[in-house]
Formats: sequence, structure tokens, C-alpha cells
Amino acid sequence: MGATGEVHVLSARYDVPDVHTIDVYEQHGGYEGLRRALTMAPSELIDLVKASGLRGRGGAGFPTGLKWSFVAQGTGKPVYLVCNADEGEPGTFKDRPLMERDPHALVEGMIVGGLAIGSEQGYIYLRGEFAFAGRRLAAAIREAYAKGYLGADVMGSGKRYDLTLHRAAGAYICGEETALLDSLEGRRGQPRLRPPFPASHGLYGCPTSVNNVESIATVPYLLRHGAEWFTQWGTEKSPGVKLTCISGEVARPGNYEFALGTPIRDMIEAAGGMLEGREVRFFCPGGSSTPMLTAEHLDLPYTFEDIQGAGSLLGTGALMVYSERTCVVDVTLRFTEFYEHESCGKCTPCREGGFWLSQILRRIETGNGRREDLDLLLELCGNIFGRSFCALGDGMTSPIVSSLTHFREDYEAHVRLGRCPLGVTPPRRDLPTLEPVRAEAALAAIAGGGA
Amino acid sequence: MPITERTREEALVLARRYPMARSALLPILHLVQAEEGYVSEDGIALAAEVLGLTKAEVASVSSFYTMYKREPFGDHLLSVCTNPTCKIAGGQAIYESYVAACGGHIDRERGVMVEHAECLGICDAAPVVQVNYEMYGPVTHDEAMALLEAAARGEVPASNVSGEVPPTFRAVERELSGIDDGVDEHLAAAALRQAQAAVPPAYRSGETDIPVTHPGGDPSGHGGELFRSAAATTEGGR
Amino acid sequence: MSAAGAGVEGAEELVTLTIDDIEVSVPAGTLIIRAAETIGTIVPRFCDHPLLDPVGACRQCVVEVEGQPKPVMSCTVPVAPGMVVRTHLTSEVARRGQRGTIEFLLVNHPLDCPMCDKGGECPLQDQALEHGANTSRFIDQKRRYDKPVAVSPQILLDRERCVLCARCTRFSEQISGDPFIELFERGALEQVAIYEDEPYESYFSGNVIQICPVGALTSTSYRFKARPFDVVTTPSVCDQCSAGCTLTVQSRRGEIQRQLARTNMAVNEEWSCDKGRFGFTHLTAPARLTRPALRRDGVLVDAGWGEALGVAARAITEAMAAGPGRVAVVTGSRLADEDALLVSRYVRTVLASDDVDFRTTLATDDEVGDLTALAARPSASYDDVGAAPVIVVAGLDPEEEVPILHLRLRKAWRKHTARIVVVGPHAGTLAPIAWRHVPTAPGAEAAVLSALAAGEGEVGRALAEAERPAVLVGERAGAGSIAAGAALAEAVAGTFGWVPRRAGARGALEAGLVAGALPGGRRIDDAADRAELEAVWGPLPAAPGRDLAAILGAAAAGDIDVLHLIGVDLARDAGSAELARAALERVGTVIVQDLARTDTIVGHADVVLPATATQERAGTRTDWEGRAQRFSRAVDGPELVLDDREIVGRLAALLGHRLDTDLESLRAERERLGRRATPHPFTGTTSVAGAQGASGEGLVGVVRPLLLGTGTMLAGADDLLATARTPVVLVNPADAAARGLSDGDEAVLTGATGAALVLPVVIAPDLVPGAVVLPGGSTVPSVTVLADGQGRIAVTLAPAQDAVSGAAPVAVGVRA
Repeated sequence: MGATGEVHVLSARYDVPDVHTIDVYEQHGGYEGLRRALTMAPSELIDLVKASGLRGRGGAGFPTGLKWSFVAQGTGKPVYLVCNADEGEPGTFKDRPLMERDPHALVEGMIVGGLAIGSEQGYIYLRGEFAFAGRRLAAAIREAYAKGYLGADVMGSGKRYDLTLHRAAGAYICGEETALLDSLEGRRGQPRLRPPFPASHGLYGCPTSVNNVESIATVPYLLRHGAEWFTQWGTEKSPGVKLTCISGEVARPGNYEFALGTPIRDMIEAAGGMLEGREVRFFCPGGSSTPMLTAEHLDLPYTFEDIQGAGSLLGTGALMVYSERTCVVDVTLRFTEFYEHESCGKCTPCREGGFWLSQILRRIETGNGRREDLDLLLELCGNIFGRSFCALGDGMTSPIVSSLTHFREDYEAHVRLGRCPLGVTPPRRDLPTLEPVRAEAALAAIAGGGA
Repeated sequence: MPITERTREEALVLARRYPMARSALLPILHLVQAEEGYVSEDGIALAAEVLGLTKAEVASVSSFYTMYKREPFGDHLLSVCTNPTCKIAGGQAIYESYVAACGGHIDRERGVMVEHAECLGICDAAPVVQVNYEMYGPVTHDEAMALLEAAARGEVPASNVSGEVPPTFRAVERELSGIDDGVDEHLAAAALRQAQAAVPPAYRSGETDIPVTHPGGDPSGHGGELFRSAAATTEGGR
Repeated sequence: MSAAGAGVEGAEELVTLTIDDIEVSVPAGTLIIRAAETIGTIVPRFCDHPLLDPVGACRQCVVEVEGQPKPVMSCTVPVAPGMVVRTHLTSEVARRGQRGTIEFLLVNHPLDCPMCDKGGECPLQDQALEHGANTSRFIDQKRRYDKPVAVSPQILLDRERCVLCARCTRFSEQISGDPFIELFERGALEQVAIYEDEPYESYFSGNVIQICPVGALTSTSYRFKARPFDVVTTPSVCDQCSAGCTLTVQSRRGEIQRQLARTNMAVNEEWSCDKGRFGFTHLTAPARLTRPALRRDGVLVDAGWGEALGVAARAITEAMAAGPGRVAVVTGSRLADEDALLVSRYVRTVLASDDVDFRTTLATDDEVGDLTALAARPSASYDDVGAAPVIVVAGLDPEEEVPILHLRLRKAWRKHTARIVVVGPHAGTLAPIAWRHVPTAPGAEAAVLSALAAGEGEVGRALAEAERPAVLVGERAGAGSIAAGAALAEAVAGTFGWVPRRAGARGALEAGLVAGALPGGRRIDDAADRAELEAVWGPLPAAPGRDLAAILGAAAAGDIDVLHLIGVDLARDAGSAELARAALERVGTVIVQDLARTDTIVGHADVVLPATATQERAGTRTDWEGRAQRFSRAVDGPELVLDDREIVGRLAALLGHRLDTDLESLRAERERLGRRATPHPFTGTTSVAGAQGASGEGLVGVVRPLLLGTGTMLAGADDLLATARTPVVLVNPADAAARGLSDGDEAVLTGATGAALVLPVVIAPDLVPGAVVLPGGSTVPSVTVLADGQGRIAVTLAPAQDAVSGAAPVAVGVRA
């Protein structure tokens, strides 16, 4: 086990004035990694990333080097590197600050990634609502082109790399890599069947690797400092550092960086501890899709394997911490409404399940729950989990199943009292406006259902 | 502002930026919003024409994404995060007050649209309000209401997060279209190169990949207007 | 089938697995759901369709696969060696999964089965019964939508019933290629819809009704009419074009309720076009002929069969007595094969004539030689086309003429990127999937086909390199095209197909229903051929007779006394309306046997003999491939109508000849005659100069028929006709500019005869200069009014507002 605690590695430059400009970035070691990468063969680059043990930072934790090694070569097709910058998992705010403050780190990482997988074209699929990040990235790309770091002759190496910034339009599901590819192709962001996997049939049917912002931005550091440097932190299975988002009822919510393996309790302490007079009652360790954990899990080291061992997931590294002042049923309801709103509609369990689950939860939270609803919730979650097309359906069940497991008495209290014990009254459902001809009646009916 | 010939030209510029023209659909729809303030029927027709799609295909996509607005409202879009952290911090109350103050989601008189947003990725500043996708947070209820008033007056202050004053909705949509990103000649050249690869990029229809079109690629697939105009020019040379 | 793909030649690799403890071997790449079907296990499904790409959306086909942590969707996962699959028959996991999915699907379903057209044939209903729970645990608010909404005049959509399997949207994208119907919105509000001002106008839209696994998409014309369990179902073959689609006719109390595509993987797979599906209302339309009639004092009055046939026989006897060549027969292309053979014999033996033609075009001289050469040869098949890497299409617009062939071409393009090459003045509806369009002057296709045979150019090289390419020549291709196309196919070791438009054309050709020909690709001027026929039929005329152009010319000149028209509306369809009118006016007795009151009957017939329609009789029909398929009688015709061959047989009897009209006898005769052992060589010259250049201001008119037009076989199909394409004139941009015309303008077209039509202009950059494309069969009057006496069309074009007085232009439009 390596060093633990708060660190400043990826976030080290965050507070350097004007580091978003290429000159300041270079003064702080920027583009050194690229320079080194240009002297290396693609296989060496992939080996380096493999040796570092870097695991994908987008949620699934798949080893980045391994992913790159799967990208099909020699097919005659163009190869694409796509950066998943569609950060939207509730509680997650690590990629946006990185892109706003240190955009060249991503640009540099993209070029290096392109070299590693034999790609001459990268796309950054940026969440549309991140207008400021888009502005910063566009400027960084302009600067990189102007300096000859992007384009037909990267740093005079004769190698080519082009980078397109593509702003999305509001759909959480596009964070799923195949839905992202469909969206990037100008379609509805609905996930694709796998196999074939993007590594052979990705964007435009060409070999493609889709990687998270943080994963890509980490790579230039590996080139500058080596793989071993990275493994000084964390554990064998979860080496390195991780940008972590701490929010909820903590004193200083914010974007922190920790060595993996840091105990969750220490992380909360780093964020100033709980707000005055509050105790941790439950928390999501890695975003809303990761099952809730409770105060008894606070001493877990923050690693992929330990969190998984406790029945949850490290996810995106988004710690949402709540006390007894927050109604767990209400939080679960809001998460469920989120998934219902963001379900793409492709598969039955997720589409209809989300629709049903949120109605039941709303009934319970507003005091109209029935005793049998609790088991019904669990059974419906069982019918969604593992049967939905993509992980969104699975994620939908996480808060419900975990909160029912840990806090069934809260649900029972709602049913027994006929109201929320904490007095939280959820609002009427708000649904997007539809064109009047299509579904005005539907809207009225659904909106009315939550009253 | 209506769709003009210039809009069409710019849409074509966006289309040429990708080895498969359809990829430009999301950017073109942003461009349409930049011109029209929402995704208008003319805008859907433009996207369909430029990309060789049916209007049903375009509207199918535009209705999938929440950032495409279906009616005009004016210059300011206020998005309030109502996910748990922001909700607990007061986001829900802000949202409800906004709707009450606007008499609904759209207040055309004041040129404002309010919407609830899913997690905006800035939970450390809960509760968060976005004005034309510029972040403000944490905001008190009063600050949030003042923000609404400021938006209605057209005097939105700079964001406490980015330090930027948000442009109008149309202006930010123009940004989001990427038309002014400024590296177009590189991207267009790269797209053309890829379209001419030994095995060119393909249009995915179901689980089948169909080789496609780019004006410079093998014109044996979809491609509508671009294909036709390219075909017309090559025809003359043959 | 879809998953296995085209498959490698020869032995396919087999994969062995067990499904519910039964060992099964299937080709590699087969989906589990298909593999299960081979042992009779039908895994429940909604979104899966064997001809659509897998999507895995409904999650109903869940099975358990040993070693897989999660249940597997059998419609998306191919088999693997040694795989151990457990379906709902043996797996509780699978059963539970299916119960769960059914429950989710019914959450928002209105459960309005008693008033739903799908009731009784609804997979959702069946599966809810078989795998679902008796009562619902859902007590909350269902989605509500307006019901139903029209997505086209012939299709209604009830979104509350929809399970969002996306079969319809995938069909329209993947199969028919006209994605006007799409999924809109997302999540729980996802719904099938069209874009408001863009109706779902597809020639194939009816298929989505048939493949909808619930009652969401229903047919306007079938709505509330019948239940599947109280209709009589009869297999049939479509008679609307030469595609040969097999159909299922469903009738109730002797009336057709609906027609469905019947699966025939060799021909129409599981599809049909809307014309075939909805085009049956003419059987009971007001224009339908229900009893014989005679013209008395210029007015058609009802008559008995004996009287009508007597008048006809007397006229024929008198004409024959007046000298040879005074009776001629034109048959159109509606006849069943057996009837065509009988008519062929009737003309040659009873009338002792060879003046007969099944075509409506005024053809060039050498076409008969090429047609007889063709008739004795095997044709390219649908499967040949489907497998061909390069497909040349000349003088044919399959979507408008033979729609199911269009789907095959699309499938070849989509499944293995077949390179489709269009040869002709205009790329037509193939444009979006065509690899190359080789433009030619109107009628000059043959020269290009010959050049391709020589390996010229990019297309020629592609053909030379391709393995078994296909060459398809339509009936609009100019002189010499059949011979040139066949020669091209031979030169590149490919297959050749002649693709006429009408259903009975190939059958008529094989029956020898054209002057100079005899059944089986024989020629009347060939002594050996004639001897073969005479052995069966008795003495035959020795010299070739007159084709349609000559018949009409002679008739107009007063040299013909009796015209016997069988299923052809010459006034509307003959290549020259002017010539047809002159002929019909001059001929003493016009005998017409047909289904409906055509323009010819109304204006010219002296004797009207009503005939049965396809669905009212049994018979055989040969499609463009030369594939003969039998059909059965589905309903009774009007009481007083007779089959065509009965009518001819009775007429022959009155003329003193006994012809056996029994179907089985005719089939046996056809069998006995067979095809000529050694096909005649093609005769067409391949160095045809081609198009008659238009002189001066004139533009050469190319008539492209539209699928949905004014023909009597669509009478009463109002919902269908509402989806017809607007008749327009296509004009090259330069030609349009020179005449001050732009897209959407109304133009006056004036023919050599002075007749004029008004049509909206559509600018077509892919149309060669100097030509215009005219909409065939879909205007009143027909565009053939613009033709000169030789059937050639040269028109002048002017903006409608500049119309010169004199020839008052006739505004035209679709009949609806």
C-alpha cells in the first residue's frame, strides 16, 4: 500500500494564474510528456500506461492501457480516440474543473493517446451545458494548432493529429460510451449492442477508444514521471491518485485529490468534516449510481476493490455525504426521478421501470405508500438489474436497493405515519415541455399523477 | 433572426468538419438555436436538407436532447439544479419560486425561460443556477431571485465561478455550435482525409455499417445534399 | 438468416450447442433465438425480427446461458461452441425475466384488447396470457396519449399500445430506406411519430402494420372490420406488377377484408408493397364490370352473355370472311399464364392470325426477336440480384415499377455494399443508393451497355472484376438494350434479367402473345418451331404478324374490322394516345374483355365482356424472373363474370373451334410445350444510334410510370391513393433555366400533336439535358397524349403563366 491522504498532482496547476494558456502551461511542464511520447513507439506508450496500472476514471475502472491495446490496428480504417467529457453523474464535478483550469492537460493527453493507439483524429465530446469549459478548450485547441502541436506535423515529428471539440446537447446517457458514439454520429444517444465493441467497431464503424477526461489528462504525467512514480500511491489494484468530488453536508464541499486508498473518513475530514453538529448517516461513494453506504463504512480505504467489497462502487469518485437531517427516501426519489428523466427509452425495464419506480417512491414520500410497496420496489429493481440494455438501468436500482437494505425502517416510517418523518414534501413532478400536438394529454396525466 | 443563406453556408461548414456529415447534426441544431432562439421548423428543414436526412430523423434527434428548446422565449435561460445536493441546499425552492415568478416556464415578456436541470456538475457550489450555461453558486434564495430580475433586465452579472458574463442565449448557442472555434480548415482537411481512407468511415444503419459519404469520399452511401452536389461536380469532370 | 450474413461459399462452419438439454448444430453466427427455433422452441420476443438487425430493446427474449453472470438476450447473442442455453422451458431465471418484462410492458398498456384490431393475433396478448400474471400490481398513473393519430392516410398509430420495439422505425430505415417514421422524445415519453408536415409516404408503409407486434399500428381500411379468427385465408400471388409477391388474402362472407404479405424468402421475403397490400378495392369498386354490355345507338347497355358473345362472334366471322388480317388481338399484361396460353392458341388457330401484342409500347422492330430469345433462357433471380456485387439497372426504376425488386437491391446495397449502376437518362429513385449513374440520352442505353461489356471505364472494370454481377433491363430501355444487356451479362459471367412492369408480361411472352413469337421462346418464322407447335395446336400461320404499332396503324387506316382487347386500356396506355384514338374510332367492332369500365370501354367498346380478377379465380402467374407461382380463388366474383379463358373459349366455340379451357389441361399443355431446347440468338443490333434527338426547342419525353396512378386496378383504394406521389415533370437545370422555369413552377408541356398538359416542375440535376421525365399512368389525360403517331414524345416547355392561347392546356392531377 502506497502513500495515502490528500495530494496535488493532477490538480497541482489549478491555481496557477493563466495556466489555461499554452505559454504558462509549458512553463509548468506542459507538453513535455508529448515531446517524450513522440520519441516512443505506440507499443511502448501502451506498455507505460499498462505498467502504471491506471484504471479508467469515468466510472467503470477498466485499465486504460489494456483498453488502448484492444484498439484494432491495420484495418485500413481510420482510428479514433474519443474523450468522454460528458460529465453528468450526479455528485460528480471533477472533469469540468480540469478542463476549465488546465485544458491543455487534456489536449496534450489526447495527442499522446492518439499516438498510442495509432489515431490521427480525436474528438472531445463535451457536455453541452459546460459552456465555459468549452470556451477554454476551444482556445487551447486554437493555441495548440497555432504552435504546431496539433495538425499535419505535430511538433515537427511528421506525425498528424487533429482534434475536434464537439459539444453535446443534454443527455446523461451519452456518458455511456456507445451512446456517446451514436450521439457523436448525429443520432439519438442510445447505447449500441456489444459486441462488436468500440475497439473494433466504434465511431463510424472504425476502431475507437473512448476514455474519460481524467484518464487522458493523467497520461502526460506518466510520460514525465514514469509508471513507477504513479504507483507510489494507492494499492496494487488501485494505484495512483484520484480527483474526488466531495459534496453534501460537509463543511467545505469541493474538488479534492487523494491518493487512492485514503480512508473515507479522512477524505471527509479533508473537506472540513460534517457541517456543525451533524453525523454521517449515509453516503454515495462514487456518484448516484453507486449503492449507498453508511457510517459503518467510513473506515474503508477509497479503492476500487475495497468499495466493491463493501457492496458498492468507486464510480466517478464522487462522494455525496448526508446526515440524519436528510430524508433518505427523498434522496432516493430524486435519484430515481433523475434516472427516469435520463433513461433513453430504448429498453423496456429501464424505460417502464423508472416510470413505475418513481411513482411508487413519490407515493411513499408523500405518505401514500403501502406496506407491500417496499417489497414491490425490490422486486421491480430485481427485474431491472441485469436485464436492462446498459448500465443506466442497473444504476437506477442502486439507490433504491441500497437504501432499502440499510434504511428499511425509514421507508416503513413513511408508510406508517402517512408522511415524511422529516417533513420533506417532494414537489410535483416536472416534465419537459412537449410539442403540443404530440403528448399534451400525456403530460397532463403524468404531471397530475404526482399530486 | 430567420435562417438565411449564411446559416446554410455555416451548416455546410460544420458538415464538412466530419468524415460523416451527419455528425454535424447536433452542432447544426445549436446553430439553428443561435439564429432562431429555438429549434424552429425552418431549422429542422435546414438540417435535414444539408445532411440529407428526413425531417423526422432530425426531429427524432432534436427531441432527444434537453438543450434543444421547442419554442422561442428570449435571451435568457435559467437552469436550476434540483438533484439531491442542490435540492437540499435550496435549489428546489428556487426553482419553484422561478416558476411562480414567471407564471410558468417561459416568460416571453421578460425574455426568460426557467427549467429544472439534472446535476450540473458543480455540487460544491450547491445550490446552483445557470444563466445561459454560466454557473452561479452557491446562491441564496434572494440572490437567485435577483439573478432572475437581472436576466429579465438583460444585466446579468459575471459568474462567481468562471468570472464571465454570460452571453445571450443565442450567442451562447452559437458558441456551442463550434462554428467560431477557428480551426476549421484543419478539421475539414482531416475529415476529407479520413473519408478517403482505404476503408472509409461508415454510416451505421442498425447493426450494419454502410460506407458513406463525405463530399470527397466514396459516394456510395447516404449523404443527401452533400453527396448530390459532390456527385454533380465530379460528373462534370468525368 | 440475418446474423449468418451472406455466408461463405460451400460448407458453412457449424457450431454445436445445447438448448434445454437438446444438442443442436447451426451455422456459426446464428443468434441463439434462431438456433432455438430450429428445435421448435420459440423464445418470446417483440423487437426481434429475422429480417431486421438485432436491437435487443424489448428484453423479452431472455434466456440463461451457463457461465454468464447475467441473463442473456437471445436475439442479440450469437451461438458459441459448447454453449449451454436454458430457455423459459427449463430455466426459472428466464421465466422470471419474461414475467418481469411483460409486467413492465403492461404498465403503460391500455389493455383495450376487446376493441383492438390486433386482438386474436397479438404477440403481446398471447405472451401476457402465457407468461404474464393475471392481475396487475400497477396502481399508479398510466401514460395517456391521444388515440389514434394518423401517420399516413392508411396507417393509424395508437401510442398507448406501443411497446417501443422499434420494428416499424427499423423497417423504414433498414429495409425501405424512407425513415419518415421515427422514435421521438426519450425515456418514458419515447414514442413513435412522424414529423408533422412530412407524412409517412412510403410505398412500403403497410409492412409496418404487419410487423407491429401489438395493436399500435393499424390499417385504416381494415380497422374494426374483422378478427383473424373469422376470416377465410387464401394464398395468392399479387397481380399489380411483375414482382410475383405472394400474398395472403383474407375474406369474410365473400368480401376481401385485407391482404397481407405471405412469407416467400425467394421472392418477396416477408414484405409487400402498399399497392399489392391495399390494391384490392377495384374488385368491388363502382367501375367494376359485372355483366356483359353492347353498344346500341352509341350507348352501352347491359346484355346477356349469349347475346354479347354472339355479336362478337358475328363481327369476327364477317371480318375473317372479308379477308386476312382484318382481326387483331391486343392483350395487355394482366392475364394468368393459362389464359395467356389459351389466347395465344386462339389467335393462331381460331383467328388464323399472328396479329397480336401484349405490349402497350410502340416497340422497335428487333424487340420481338430479342424477346423470343429471352423467353427460352433462364433469367436472373431475386437471389442472384441479392448476391451480386455489381448490379446494372437500365431503363428501369424499380421502386416505381417493381417495388419488391427495389427492396432486394437495397438489401444487396446494405448487406454487402453492392455497387448499383444506373444506366439511363435519369438515376430515378435508386439515386440515394446508386454507386454510379451512367447518363445516356433517352433510348441510348444499349450503346452504354455495349461499352460496359467491353470493360470500358470505372464501371466496366468493376463489372469485369465482379463475381456474377447482375444486369437488369427494364421495358423502357431503348432499342437493342435487351440484346446488349444479355451480351454484357455474358461478357462478365453475370446474370441477366428483363424486368417488365406488368404482372402478366413474362407469362404472356412465354405464351408467345406477341407477333412473330410462339410459346416457349419459339418463333413463328422458324419452321422447326412451328412444327413443334403444329403438332399440338394444328396448322399455324407461317409469316410473322403485326405488332401493336402496326395493328394500330392498320386500324387507323381502316384495314382492320375487329379489335379484340383483353385486359388492356389502349385509350389510356398505348404508347400514342393519338394513334390509339384514331384506331379505336375507325375499327368497326371493338371487343373488350376487362375488369372495369376503362376509358377504352367507355369511349370505344362495342362489346364488353366482364372478366374475373385474380382473387376471384385460380391460376398461375410468372414473375419477371420466370418463376411460375399458382394462386387460388379467395372470393367469388360478381355473379355474371367469367374467367378470361372461359370467355375466349366460348367465343372460339361460337367460331367453330373447341378449345379446352380447363386449368389443368392448359397447365399440362404448357408443360408439354416447354421451352425451345436451344434458345434463339439475340438479334438486336448493339450499335444503336439511340435517341431520336429532339429538334429545336423540343425536349425528349421519357415516360416513367408511377406506382400509384389512375389505373382501374386501384379504383376505390382511396387511402392508398392519398399516398401517391404528385405527378411532376423532371427537367434538367439548364433546360429549365433556358425556359425560365424553376423548381415548383407550373409548366405547360406541348407535344408534337398540339396536345398540352400542365405539370409542376421539379429540377433534376441528374437528368441528362435535352430530356424530361414524364409521370406515366398517373395523370388525366395520360402523358401519352403528347406522343406522336410513332409513340415518340418531344415536348416544348413553357411557364404556365405564359401559356399561349389555342391548345387549351389541361390541368392534370392524381385521381383520388
